[in-house]
Amino acid sequence: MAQTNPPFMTGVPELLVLRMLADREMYGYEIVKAVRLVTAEAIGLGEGVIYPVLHGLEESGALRPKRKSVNGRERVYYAVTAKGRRRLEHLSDEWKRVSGGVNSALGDPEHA
Amino acid sequence: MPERPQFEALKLELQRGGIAKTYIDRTLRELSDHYDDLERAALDAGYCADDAADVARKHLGNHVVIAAAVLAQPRLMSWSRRWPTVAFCMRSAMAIGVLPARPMLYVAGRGDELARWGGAIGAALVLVGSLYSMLNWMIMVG
Repeated sequence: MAQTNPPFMTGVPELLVLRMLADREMYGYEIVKAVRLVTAEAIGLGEGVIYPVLHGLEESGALRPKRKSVNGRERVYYAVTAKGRRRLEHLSDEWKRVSGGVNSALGDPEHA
Repeated sequence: MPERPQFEALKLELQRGGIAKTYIDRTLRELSDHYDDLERAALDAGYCADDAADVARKHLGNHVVIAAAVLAQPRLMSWSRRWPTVAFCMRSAMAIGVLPARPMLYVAGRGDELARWGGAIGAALVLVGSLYSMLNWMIMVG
């Protein structure tokens, strides 16, 4: 698993975290497992970097943390706010636009 | 939860970088929980204790990479790091405000010591005064 975040990954962890949390609230370890599962491990991040992403989104009002005691252990669950959903929509559109552009460039024989 | 030695270096880097204490504490706590989950998963997968700890460390990532990811989030900085000019002005104003109160605070904190000094000075004045008076009386009588 890659332990670094190359420059082209800017914004991707944020997008994936918001997407995972759009369905249900989760804690850090759960989010990482969900990302690994849905991306078939195509996107490898050092798992520890998930927390600054979560805290940054929380500070911007996109996520709301909630402490819950599960099996005697206290967990911090994160849920997406209305602002977070708008941010997810914006990031998704942006990603589709960029990936569409890259795909068409790769598919174009002049640029291939 | 007790602090793990493997997060000491990370804590130091975050403190040096000016990250707010709340977020340092939360990052360390959540990383610690994450580490426990990884270790448990590795043990369940059949690794021995040492290998499970290695797997957990590897998955969690290097502390330098984690610190860089935290420091890349300007929102997590302490307010004095985000607005250094405001912090400087406030600290200066507070220092000026506290300055006149310093001697009083000093006295309040050392009441016994000051009472002893006061008593000693008073006793010395009485003694010297008595000696002068006695000498004066002897000159007048003699």
